[in-house]
Amino acid sequence: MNRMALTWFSLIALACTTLVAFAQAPDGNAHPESQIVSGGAEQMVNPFGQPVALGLSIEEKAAFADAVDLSPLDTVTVFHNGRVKILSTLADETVSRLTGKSKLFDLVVEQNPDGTTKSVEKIKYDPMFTLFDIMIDPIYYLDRPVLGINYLPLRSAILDFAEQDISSLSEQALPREAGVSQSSEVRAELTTNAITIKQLEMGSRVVVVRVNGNYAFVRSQSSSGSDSFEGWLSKEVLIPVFNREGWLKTGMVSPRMADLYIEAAFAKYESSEPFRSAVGKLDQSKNLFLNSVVNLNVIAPENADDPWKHLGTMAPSTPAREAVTQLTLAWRASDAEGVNQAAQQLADALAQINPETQQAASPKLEAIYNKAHAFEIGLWVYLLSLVALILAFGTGRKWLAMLGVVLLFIAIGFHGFGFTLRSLIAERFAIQNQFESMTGISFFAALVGAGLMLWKKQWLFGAAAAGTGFLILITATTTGIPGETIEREAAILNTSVLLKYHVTTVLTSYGLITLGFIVSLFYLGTYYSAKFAKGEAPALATGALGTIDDGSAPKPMGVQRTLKDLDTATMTILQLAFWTLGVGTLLGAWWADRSWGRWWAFDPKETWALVTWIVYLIVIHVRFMNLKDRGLTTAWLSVAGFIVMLWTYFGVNLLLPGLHAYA
Amino acid sequence: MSKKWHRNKAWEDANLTGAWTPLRLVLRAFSSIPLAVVLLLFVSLYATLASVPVGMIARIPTVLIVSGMYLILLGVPIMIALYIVRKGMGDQHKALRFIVMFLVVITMGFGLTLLWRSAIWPNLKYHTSDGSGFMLFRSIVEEYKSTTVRRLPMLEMTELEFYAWWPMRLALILFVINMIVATIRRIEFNFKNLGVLSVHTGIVIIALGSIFYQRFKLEGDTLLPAGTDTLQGPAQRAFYDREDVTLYVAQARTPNAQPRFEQRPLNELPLYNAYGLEAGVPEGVDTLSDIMDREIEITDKGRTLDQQVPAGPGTLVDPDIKFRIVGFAPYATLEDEWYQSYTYVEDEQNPYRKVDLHFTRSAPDGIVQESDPIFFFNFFLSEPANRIRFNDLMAIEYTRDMDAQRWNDLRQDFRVEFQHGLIIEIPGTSTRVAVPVAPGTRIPLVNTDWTVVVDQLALEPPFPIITPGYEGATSSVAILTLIKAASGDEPEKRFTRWVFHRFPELNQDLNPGEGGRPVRTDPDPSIRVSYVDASKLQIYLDEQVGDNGEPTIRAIVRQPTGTMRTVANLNDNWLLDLIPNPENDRLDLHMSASWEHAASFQRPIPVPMKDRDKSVAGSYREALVGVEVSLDSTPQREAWSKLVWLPFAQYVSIQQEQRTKVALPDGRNIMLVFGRYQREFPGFELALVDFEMIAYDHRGAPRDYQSIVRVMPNPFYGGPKPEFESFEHVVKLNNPLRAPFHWDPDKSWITNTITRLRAGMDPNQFKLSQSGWDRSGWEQSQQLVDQGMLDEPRANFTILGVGNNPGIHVIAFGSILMSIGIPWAFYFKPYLVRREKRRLAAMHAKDKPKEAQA
Repeated sequence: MNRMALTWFSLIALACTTLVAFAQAPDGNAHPESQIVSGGAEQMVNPFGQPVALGLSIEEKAAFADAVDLSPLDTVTVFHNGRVKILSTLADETVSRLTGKSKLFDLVVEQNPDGTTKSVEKIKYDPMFTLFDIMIDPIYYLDRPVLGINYLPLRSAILDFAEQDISSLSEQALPREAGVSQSSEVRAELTTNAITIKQLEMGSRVVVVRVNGNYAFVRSQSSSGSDSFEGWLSKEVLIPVFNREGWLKTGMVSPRMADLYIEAAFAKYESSEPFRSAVGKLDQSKNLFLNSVVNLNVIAPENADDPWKHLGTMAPSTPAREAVTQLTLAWRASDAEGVNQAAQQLADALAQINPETQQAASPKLEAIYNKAHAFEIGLWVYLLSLVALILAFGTGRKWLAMLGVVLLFIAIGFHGFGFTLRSLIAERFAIQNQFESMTGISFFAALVGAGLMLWKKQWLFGAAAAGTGFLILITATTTGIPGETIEREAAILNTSVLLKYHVTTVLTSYGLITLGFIVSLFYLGTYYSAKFAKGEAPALATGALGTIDDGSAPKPMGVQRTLKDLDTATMTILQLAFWTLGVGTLLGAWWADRSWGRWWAFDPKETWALVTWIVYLIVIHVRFMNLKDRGLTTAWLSVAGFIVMLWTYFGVNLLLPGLHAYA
Repeated sequence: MSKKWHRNKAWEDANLTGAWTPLRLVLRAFSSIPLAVVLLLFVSLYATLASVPVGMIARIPTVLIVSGMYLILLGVPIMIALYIVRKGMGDQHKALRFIVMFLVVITMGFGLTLLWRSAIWPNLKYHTSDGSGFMLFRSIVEEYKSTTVRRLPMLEMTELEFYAWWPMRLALILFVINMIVATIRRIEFNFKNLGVLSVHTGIVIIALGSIFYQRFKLEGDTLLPAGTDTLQGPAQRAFYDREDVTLYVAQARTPNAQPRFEQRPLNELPLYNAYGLEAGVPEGVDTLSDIMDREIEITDKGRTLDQQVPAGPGTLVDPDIKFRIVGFAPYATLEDEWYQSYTYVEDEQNPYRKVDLHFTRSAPDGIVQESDPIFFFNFFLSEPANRIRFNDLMAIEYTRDMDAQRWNDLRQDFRVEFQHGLIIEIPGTSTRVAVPVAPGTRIPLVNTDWTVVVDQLALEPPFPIITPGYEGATSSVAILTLIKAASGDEPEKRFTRWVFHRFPELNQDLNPGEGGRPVRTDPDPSIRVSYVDASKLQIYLDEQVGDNGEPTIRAIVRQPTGTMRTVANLNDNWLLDLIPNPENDRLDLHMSASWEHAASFQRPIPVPMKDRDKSVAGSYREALVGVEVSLDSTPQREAWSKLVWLPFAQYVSIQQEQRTKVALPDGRNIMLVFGRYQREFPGFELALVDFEMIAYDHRGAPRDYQSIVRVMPNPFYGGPKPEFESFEHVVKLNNPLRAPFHWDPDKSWITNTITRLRAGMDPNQFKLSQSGWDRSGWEQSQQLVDQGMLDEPRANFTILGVGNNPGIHVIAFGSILMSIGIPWAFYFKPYLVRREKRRLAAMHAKDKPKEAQA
């Protein structure tokens, strides 16, 4: 930037002001702030040295990634974001925060002669590889889709700016994709390798692999044939091609785009809160991309009072630093064998440093947790169980019911395994953020549903349990619910025993409400299918639901009996939900009195817990009224109660400010 | 329906007739379950209005329509497909048909959802940033996106106020009556029904307990300052109310006496909306904001405020001084606003000048009138702090009638490149030198006894300038040592001189005094030193009245290299080409507006919604209140009033700078503060003994906070004094302090329990919870610990949440009844009924053979 520009920019900066913000909730009431990038970036020595441009193509990068084995580093411990974790966890979190996906991917597009896309191959990278690659070879990623943006208007705005810029580029620079502006001969003189000299027709789309002076090394297919082409071309014949729609579909932008256009995008829509929030997230991702190396606090201290130190603080002559140097050199030479050896050396060297401190963090358990994917497997087994039980209801086949029950218990096993491991790793009862509470809700609901199934001998409860487990777990694991990464909890939660009783009871009630909702759906499905089939029995095998001896009057037969059983099951669950929700809310009031000094403050969460409870109070009482169809009214009220519960659980947390910031 | 209900209805139908019919109808209404359901629905809707913003409620129709569209997209094709399957497979086995239908539902549901997500939803989804997508009532959604009904100007209620409002009270009273009447008239009072009776009784007890609780509930917090390593902090006898605010008023009786503030509660003050923002703005004047085209969002929409603030008993403020609240800004900054005034005292004239900065690429010669300014500067020529504008790269000083000596110094040609230069003169001689200098430069003055040594060249003086009239002003300064060699009987003279680049009139000498303390004096007149700072682009504009009586502007432009040019008279008020360059990219200055006199007042500037911290909403933390102080007219004086805007003070006692002084025309002075209402602890006081933040391992996030607090009797308390001995308590999160009663391990368990239960009803029993801490102080001291300069980190204060809980045990008892009653009603009662049925069935079976035998 020239002096003139500096002058007036700095003049404009005179007008900048700052705003001091206050928080209303007591200190310790919110979860500790996430520190995605550890502090100390300014003083850090980068153990991998300054990045250099390696100029690898996608295929070369993929082949290298395939050959590299970083598994010895998986269980290396690192202090990050307030707790000791393992490198594979850090890698998963880094990739997830950067891309919004579990793995970074590259797209290899094969084109038809007319320029249309023939096929797209998706190459996924192991998160550990990505973590090290963005630290050692960040230049490779500068113009690749790396930074995920969920918020479409921001993604569009940045791509719009990029498109405008690229279309205004003349010959100054080339994007990764280009097209040939005139028929041209390959300039072979710049490469030492002998390559075939051939004519490249105008309109061919090429991928620019690297640029050297006025020449670019490109790969392409000729527009008139299927021959692939690879070689140097003069920059003069290349025109930029920007595939905006392709970028848009990836859900990501490149770090360079983020760097160039984030301010302009912010200025354009700064009055929009979601837009500002999305810009803030993108800025965090960009910062993480640039500074992920700062997170390598892998030097364990001797005791718990001292902080962990960064890899770069070790003397270059130490085994760990020597291993890092070897790793870096091998990485830059694309020498996978050398990388693998150096990774093993680095893991061994780090393991020698205060091993007691490292082992205190249960690295092996965490590695099992990361690899088991217990919640993800559990949810699909829940789905299979649900399908088996529904088919059992429809066909009356007992073996399907048994299969469904067995699958349900397998799913609960996976679910419980994940829940237990998470609690052990986090060193607390894992119900203290949105993600954990969802896995908790579904676990408690599945347990209660399975218990009711065994007690009442009705598979219906099992189906409801499976449905609840599937619905909640798939929402928790696929929609970016906050709290999936294991972090330290709010101090106010950490110091209370009442939390466990209050939250567990309330979550159980939410789980039961979901169970009741699913049974009500069965009711409504049965009712309306019978109604619209004009009196004809629905395709449900009556009796598959089991029998209930509630001491009431003799049961009707056929659909009416099914509806009667479903209604009784609904009420069994809703009564339990009503009780646990009431007790859970009162336990919360007790805790609030102790912790905040007032038992009830009409905080939105409290208010809506009361409203949810009132809905079920109404359910209990309308059954004493002279209703035409008590079961149908109950089923619809159960659906309404479920929606109100969803609002209490998600809407209040995410949309309304309040003291329950951690919930 | 119970038999009891039948009996009662039958009795009423038989007996409550004629004139008693209304009573029968009322009893029937209050016994009805539909009334209970309606009242519960009302409570739910009321709670919705209280907690959900209007904008969010306005989204409901859109959400319903979009959900409906999705369900139709999903439902209609699936229903058609199912119909076809049903018709087509009518003769197939039921089980097979079910499987096919199930697969159809799953497959179509999945496919149609994908279609919805990829093709329809992206077009419907509403984006606030660009307004794309489908949203009904868009303006309401946007304008009230975070405004609940209770926050609207006509209500202005907190959550608690809204829930204590009459509609809600009425609904709850009706509900409780409904429940009591229905319970008495419909439910048999027997062992079997103990569950439902307990639940209903529990709810009534909770309601009664809540009324008592709400009546006496007090809440707030107190800040306990830390003491030294060996001494506890100063005791605090009061706490700040959570919501109630007050106007602190004090009349300064003597110049040096501490003002004694009295509290005047502001019970009707709004909380969420702006009122009277234009209060205090002179009418029909040009303001600086007008000149700057600055848009000030007046968010009060014409609403005004007029609330008298009466004195309480025993006031120490003269009764003829009146206070009135005339404005309120819920979230604003207090800024000085300037306006053009035509009345001023000659000596107090404060001319205003606006100077625009223009930037033109490849500019032609001469003035480029059409170029737009990229920035502008405001100068107030009578205020040293406001006649200089600077940043890291350039500085502009705008003066009027600069004295000739300084003008000559500033335009001194040093003939070489330099960044800092001194001009040294020995008055009465021909000695005058202009020397480029750097720290350490030594300048012996030829043919004189003087030597000048440059000790330091600083951007700012080591201490802020406190000379009256120069507050807030700053200048680069040369700190020199002046040495006069010994001559004859005179010993060597050596002293320090501070030479200001901007304000030579402030130059001063520092001579060694007694005990080595420097003594400040005016500069020794036998040597004059002037400092020229050319480390950045310096522009000096000076106005003078020309020989023809017309004002002229002269200018000096000195580049960072030291080269300088002067302009004797600006052409059409333009100073061109500040930084000459070959491309002719030009920076020009233009004096674009001027007032002969500028006067100022303070006004609230609302902070735009997007910049507000949402957690502040519902508190006064960023609020300003407009207070009019007035004197009525009397035969001896005219009526007088003055308006001041007061910022909110969270903790009045530690924020002395929050005091605003109002000088009355008769010489009396009033001090005002807007802050939270302070309530005295009933007979006790608190002091902080020690504080510790307990972190997770390896210096992680805070895991707990621990304040060791000493509770002592307050000997000065005017009310009934509680009897207890001083004690210490460790207050932690979830481990509050109870005072004045606390669980005394020296007393028996039963005594403690009884006293505690009694204290549970006492409004003077308080609970103090760990609420806040001095984070920055702790972190700074932790750094000192790491550097070995301190033994352990420390905080300068702790904050405890304060609250009484009168009647909490009554509420707890009601809760227990309810919690036990529900499972009784749902699970134990059916068991009793089943057992009774079995017993009757068994009896019946036993009786049957006998009957058969008979």
